[in-house]
Amino acid sequence: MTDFDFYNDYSLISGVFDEMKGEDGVRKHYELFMAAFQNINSDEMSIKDELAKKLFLTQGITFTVYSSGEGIEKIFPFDIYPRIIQAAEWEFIESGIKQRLKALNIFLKDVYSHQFIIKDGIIPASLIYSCPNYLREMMNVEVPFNIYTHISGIDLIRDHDGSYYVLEDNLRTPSGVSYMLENRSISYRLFPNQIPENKVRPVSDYPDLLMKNLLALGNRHTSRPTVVLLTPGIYNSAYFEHTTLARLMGIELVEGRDLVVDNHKVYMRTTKGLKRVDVIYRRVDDEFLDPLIFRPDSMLGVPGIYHAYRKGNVAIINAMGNGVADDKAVYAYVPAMIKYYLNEEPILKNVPTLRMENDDERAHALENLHQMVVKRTNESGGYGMLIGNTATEKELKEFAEEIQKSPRQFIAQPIISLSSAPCYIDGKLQPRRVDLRPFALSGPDGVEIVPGGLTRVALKEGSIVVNSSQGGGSKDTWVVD
Amino acid sequence: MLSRVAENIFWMSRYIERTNMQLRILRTYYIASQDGVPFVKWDEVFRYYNQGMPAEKSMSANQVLNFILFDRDNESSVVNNILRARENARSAQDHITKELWQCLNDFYHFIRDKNLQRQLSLGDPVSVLDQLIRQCMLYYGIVDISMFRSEGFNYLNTGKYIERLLQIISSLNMQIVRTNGEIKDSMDIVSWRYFLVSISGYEYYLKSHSGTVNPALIFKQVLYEMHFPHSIAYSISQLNRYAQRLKAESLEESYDKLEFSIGKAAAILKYNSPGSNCEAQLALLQSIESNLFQVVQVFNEYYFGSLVH
Repeated sequence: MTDFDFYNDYSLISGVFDEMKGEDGVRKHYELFMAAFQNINSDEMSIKDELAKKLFLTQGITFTVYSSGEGIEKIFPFDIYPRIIQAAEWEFIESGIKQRLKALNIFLKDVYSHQFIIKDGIIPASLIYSCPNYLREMMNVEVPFNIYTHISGIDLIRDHDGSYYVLEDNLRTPSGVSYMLENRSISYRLFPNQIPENKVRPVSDYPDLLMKNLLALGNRHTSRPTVVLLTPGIYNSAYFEHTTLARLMGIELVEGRDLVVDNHKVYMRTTKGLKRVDVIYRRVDDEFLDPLIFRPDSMLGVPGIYHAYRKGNVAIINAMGNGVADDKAVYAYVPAMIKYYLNEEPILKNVPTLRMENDDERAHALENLHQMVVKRTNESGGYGMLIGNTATEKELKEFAEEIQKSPRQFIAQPIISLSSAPCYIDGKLQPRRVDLRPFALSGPDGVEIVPGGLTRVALKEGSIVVNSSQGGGSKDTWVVD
Repeated sequence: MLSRVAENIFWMSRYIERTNMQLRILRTYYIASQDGVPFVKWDEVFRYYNQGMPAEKSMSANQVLNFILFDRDNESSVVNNILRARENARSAQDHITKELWQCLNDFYHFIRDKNLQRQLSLGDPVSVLDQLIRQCMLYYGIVDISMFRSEGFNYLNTGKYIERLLQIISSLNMQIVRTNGEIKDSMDIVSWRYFLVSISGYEYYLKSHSGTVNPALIFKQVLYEMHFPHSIAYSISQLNRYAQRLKAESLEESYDKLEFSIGKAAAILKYNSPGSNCEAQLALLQSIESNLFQVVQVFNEYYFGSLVH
């Protein structure tokens, strides 16, 4: 037995929903694992914690932090205590995400063709056209199977009453899935037998599901189209993920300079000459993809790839121009989209969002700035964000000025407290705030979501920012029957 | 295989081979300096590794070693070579084994460890060099045991032998210039002996020519001895062997060019006999070297993409 009573010494944060412990004690789906965890000797636990860190560093499972000198490689901190979700709750999340993605996908099709949603006055045209990620170049482009959002990561959080909210839709190049896979493979080693005993649903078929979808998009008449993963290169913060996915799917990992376009067809340069490419799973952002169409100074893209795509000679995943659907100001309209396109009530709630270009909403937000989270509509990764209740007077003032100057670039939301989950820190279980990013794959056969996803955790005490670039870490996520 | 990946593997291998040879030369050189032999001049070593530029002020052996091993601002330092080897490996991660990648990743973290630098300035440089050489040996072992014998393995080996040839030629060249290819005094004997040690050839030499140190015999061993793995003849034949294995994966034109350029280097070696004439020896080395650059050029143009069509 351990010298520390993990259960009784685990104290909750007041006003915050805890994933493991409710008012009546440990929640049912945590009981089995908690019992096993209690029985681990504390020395043994420290060894496991060390082992986890070592496994990450020696395997080079690192991410690179932007704008910090020479590009420092860090390990994405891993907390050994898994986050557990019961099956019934998962069914709810799953159906909510499927509904949401269905609507967002129709929205993308619509906004890049007939624009019924604008004509019917559901979304103001100005909002769409002022979005920097809206690509006119995508108007009337025929996209295979009308799928835009092949791979998406939907960020979910829970408020104080435990209800789920969608915080963000990531429909461009969401990352983190390799951590979901690695975290699971480390859990196997840390807690032998616990995964089968808890009947944890597997996540390992993610690469197979993705590959199946990618192959289905190849439109040449070959039994096995050539699929590649396009990476910006080794200096990208998610490079580890790119190599992992390429390895697991058995496809070539290419950089922009490996590809050439000839007569609107895409080829890769091999030692045996050029080889035709049919499907590109790209992890390069839209604006860098084709220097002839987008940023002319881009070294990461492939000149001419846009026209090859338009002609239907190559499939690009995700489609270009998805940024208009995960823009933080457009986010406010997703519930309306669901009603408009699907005639259904949204299953998952949106965080109430104030759009700063509306005078009333802006005035309200500016008055109550210390109770708001302010975000830039076009940024992610926890950058360009203000959390009202922890910000200094100076920061509040600066943000207020910036909002006045360019309101379209900001939204404001009430501060959601974020649920907490137990983390093993300094030999004790301590509550830390978490979110959840399930990864959804849309293919010709519909939307599939691997059970679980990536739980990100704000390891700093009291923090609610979970992004890896801002001191966040991750946990293995178990969906248990 | 992607041209870029082939190039990455080729260069990964070259950087490690270069590192290994340089470490051994430095190790021998340092030991010779402790022996008090007069031909050891650290200022010259510095200049050699500083693109011909002399140091502003005279430097100690440890300072020069620190510059060559750990200085990030020195383009050709060992730490930069390891960094590049690792970056190349990283770009080719899906074509080398995980174990090999981890070995280079470890090597990189190892050489950046501040303790190692402290050990150099305070402790014994030989043990620092030994530890680094051991990392190289680990790399060779892992390549041998874990790398699959596919196309990548052939690029790895062609890179390795090209680099070995260039390093050997440069090293022998300097030794001939230093001694004029002859033995005038006892110091020249010491110098030639250390030269053999630095290219791992002293024991082999003793087996065949015990008791004499004869520059002409050493020259012959380094050029023609097929049982000596650092000889030019052996390395060219290995280069040829791995290049031949690329045939099935090459365009016909590319392979023809490659075969021709390697064949020419082999022919120059075979059908020249410079004897003990120092100038003829240097001319032969230069001729082989420029042909090897030709081989690299063929790889660049026909395999690595600058002209892949």
